[in-house]
Amino acid sequence: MKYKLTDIIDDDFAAELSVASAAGIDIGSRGAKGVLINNGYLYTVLTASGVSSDETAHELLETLVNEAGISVKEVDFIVGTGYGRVALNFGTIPFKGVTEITCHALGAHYMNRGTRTIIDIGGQDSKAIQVDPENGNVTEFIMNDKCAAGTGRFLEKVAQLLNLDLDELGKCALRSENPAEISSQCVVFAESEVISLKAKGVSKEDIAAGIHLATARRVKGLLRRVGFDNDIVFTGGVSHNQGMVKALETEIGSSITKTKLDSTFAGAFGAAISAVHENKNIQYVI
Amino acid sequence: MAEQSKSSTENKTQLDHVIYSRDVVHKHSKATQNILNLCIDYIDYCKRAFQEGKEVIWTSGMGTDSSLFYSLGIIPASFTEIGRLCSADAVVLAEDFFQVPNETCAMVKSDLGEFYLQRGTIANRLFYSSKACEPYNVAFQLIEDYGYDVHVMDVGFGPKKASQERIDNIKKHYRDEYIKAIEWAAPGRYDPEKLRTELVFYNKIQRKIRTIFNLRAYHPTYIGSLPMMLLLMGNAHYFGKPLEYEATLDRLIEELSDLKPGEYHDEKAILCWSGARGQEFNIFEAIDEAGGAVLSWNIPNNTVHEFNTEIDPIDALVEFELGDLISGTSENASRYIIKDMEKYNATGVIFYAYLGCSFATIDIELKRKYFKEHNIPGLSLIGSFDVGAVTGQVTTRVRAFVEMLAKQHKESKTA
Repeated sequence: MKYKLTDIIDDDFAAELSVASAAGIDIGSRGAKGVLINNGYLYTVLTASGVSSDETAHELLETLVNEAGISVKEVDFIVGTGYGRVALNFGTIPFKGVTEITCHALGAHYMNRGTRTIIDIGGQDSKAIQVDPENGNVTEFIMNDKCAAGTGRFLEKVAQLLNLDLDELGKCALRSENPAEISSQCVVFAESEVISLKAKGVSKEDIAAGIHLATARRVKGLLRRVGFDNDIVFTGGVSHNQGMVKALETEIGSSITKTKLDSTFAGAFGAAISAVHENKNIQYVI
Repeated sequence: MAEQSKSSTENKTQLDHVIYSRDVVHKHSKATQNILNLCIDYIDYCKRAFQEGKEVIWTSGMGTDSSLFYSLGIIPASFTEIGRLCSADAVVLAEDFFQVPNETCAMVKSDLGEFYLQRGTIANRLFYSSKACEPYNVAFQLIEDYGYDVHVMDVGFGPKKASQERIDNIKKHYRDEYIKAIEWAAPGRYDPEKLRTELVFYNKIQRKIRTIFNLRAYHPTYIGSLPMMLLLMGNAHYFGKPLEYEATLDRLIEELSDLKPGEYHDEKAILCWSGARGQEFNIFEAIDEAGGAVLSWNIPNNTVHEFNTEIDPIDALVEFELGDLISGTSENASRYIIKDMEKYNATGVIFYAYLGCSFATIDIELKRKYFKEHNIPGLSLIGSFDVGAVTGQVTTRVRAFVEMLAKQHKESKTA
């Protein structure tokens, strides 16, 4: 996808970012996202993470530069993020690895100036991040990685049990009129709970809605810990799941901020912003 | 033990990390390499010594036990270390064979499993002070059935506001327990002057470590977090080799003193480490690689506390135990940590506890809350004692925390 920067972020941010050709590569546990900032435009690409993080990253970069009509060599700086960042290497192009926590904060800040709280639900963990609304710096964060509950993998497993594609699970939940009570939030135990709800004749819609609410409750626990304000941005691979957005809004009691750029790309966008900043530092040194 | 350094990303076991730290990260420092060698060889050395007929007793490896046993001509082998570089089977064995619940402290399980696996080849005498924790009590009761001679020393805590009579009773009880321990370990061999000599030596070692702390403040990245933590862990048992340990400290002081101003001063954030001593060594690697430097340490090995060498040596042991800085409420400890952090300009603290440690996991949360109220960023980590690499999420947390502090530091400098 191609966007004019001024269409998706504030003009002063767009001007600040238009000084370099910078890429952000976010290799998550399930999805790999790439963002290229070049000449006033922003390019995005999304694919499955695959087995080799490095190969996937190079594929993403190729796609991005082709879309922008430039060569890989013309990219000034690349920042890698996500769990796969440690395996990345782009030869002579300056590269740095930055954690996804820092990148999501930066990305959300530029997408929605003044963001204070981020919910990031990815494939293998979920996070609540508190952000300094002045500059997008992280001020506090907490991660749930102790079990798959509250993560994309949990939803993936439930989708399988309900014979749904992952994309359909959220939409299915939105059609529910009477969400099921899900007591267990462990993937293993939830499986038997979902099976028993199915056996009792509870509809797919109600089970799906119940599962989303159970996940949202888990995430709310994280939010409580860091503290949260009304201006919440939802990022990560699960953020495009409308069923999850609704469940979070129900549990939290306030609405999730809508951003012009798909917030699935918040991490990759933050990485690209970080790459612009890093490139600026290099210029100063030279 | 095969010793071959791998690249940072290939490091799988705790031993891999120590070897990597020695051969790759600390090529520039002979003294740091010596510390890591002492650590690698510690348990094997105790094993060899035992097989050669020397006296070895498993102990906590802390100041009082170690000094006492050295004075009796016995090498103190720290039981918390048997599991640190242990085999991958130890925890599984504790859970499956001894049926220790999965939720129990990972350190205790790993030690229990390792004591079982190594029975017959290592020293079979074990001295334990009831001060540590209940899961260890249970583990050592279990291991008694497999050829171990276990002596438990029953101790008490000295409440700050107790009456003098109560404190005197506690002291008397403590003293009697030490005398019983001596009778168990080495009947008739106690020599007060030898113990006093050990206490003087211990104090001297702590002063040298404090000198290293002070010098590190000028060159924070000269010695990484992992060897610093290992150096501290040996502050009382000296890895079984007191003179070699002291010589290593002297060499490190010399190396640090020879550095030019500004050398190894490229840290992005100064940190405090508080809680357990950590088994997941790539956490330390992650701190260093992200530009963090741990200058303030709040772990069981406290170097500020010294023995009173002017009084009867057994009374000095008792006083030392009762005045232990690690005891007391979380809030008291937090106040002490904040003071120490201020000394080194540390801007954030990592709280670390072992999975299943019911005391520490709550304690670090209380401390985290206290620090939050005082606007000091804290990161709580619950770690495992299993052999193997830690998950990417744990290192991500650590890196993100250092990134956060580094940015805050940069912004405050700009402001």
